[in-house]
Amino acid sequence: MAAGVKTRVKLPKQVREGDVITIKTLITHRMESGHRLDAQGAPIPRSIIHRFHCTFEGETVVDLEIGPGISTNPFFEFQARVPGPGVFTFAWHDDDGAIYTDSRAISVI
Amino acid sequence: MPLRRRDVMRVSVGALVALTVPARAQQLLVMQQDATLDEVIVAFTDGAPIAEGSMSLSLPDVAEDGYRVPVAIEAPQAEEAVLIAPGNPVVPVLKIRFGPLAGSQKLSTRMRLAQTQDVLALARMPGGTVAQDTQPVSVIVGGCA
Repeated sequence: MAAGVKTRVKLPKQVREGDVITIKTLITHRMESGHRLDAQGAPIPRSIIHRFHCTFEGETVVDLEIGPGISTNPFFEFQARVPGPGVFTFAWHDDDGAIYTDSRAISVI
Repeated sequence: MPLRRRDVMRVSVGALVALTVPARAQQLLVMQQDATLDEVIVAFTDGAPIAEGSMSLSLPDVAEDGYRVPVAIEAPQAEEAVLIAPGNPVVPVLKIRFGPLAGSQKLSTRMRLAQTQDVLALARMPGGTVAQDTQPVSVIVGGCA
């Protein structure tokens, strides 16, 4: 699943100190559940994003353990408190061992 | 037969192993693929009583497309929450840990529902209690979860 994976993150660029912001994230991933059969009737092996971790300067915002019950192209919307300027880091962990990351700097006025 | 030191050692090592290997209930992980509904609940609550209220699970009453059902969990103050679909082939769907920088204990996503069922969410509160909310959803086209 290494090919064609795209991550998308939406959050404000600038906030006031201590503000709570909404973050929307998405990764393009087929989230193969492992319960489907191919045309020959053989099971298609599971291949999903099984963990998503969002941190700000090393501190966790949310940490998700994900099962095959989450839809294709997993989307998550949540809120974070911004204690000061810094960088949000997003990591998606694939079943195949790959970790897709994205980051966004945020400035404080 | 005289009691030899090595026999004593063998027995005590065996006893130690037996003590440290936990029972199945304790081994269970919340997100275990083959876990049943009860096992997921036990693994998450660890025996704590479950109370209705103080958390909410939002889902449409009718899901036209079981492949993409919008779902939102809101559990003010919660440390952890778990989303459970008892009618899916894999019952545990999502486990959320809210970190110190979570701005609220709310998360929205999209889930698969294999059939019409009562979707369940549990949240662990700071005092160690567990809150629960259940939402019945009619699924028109089941999403192979």
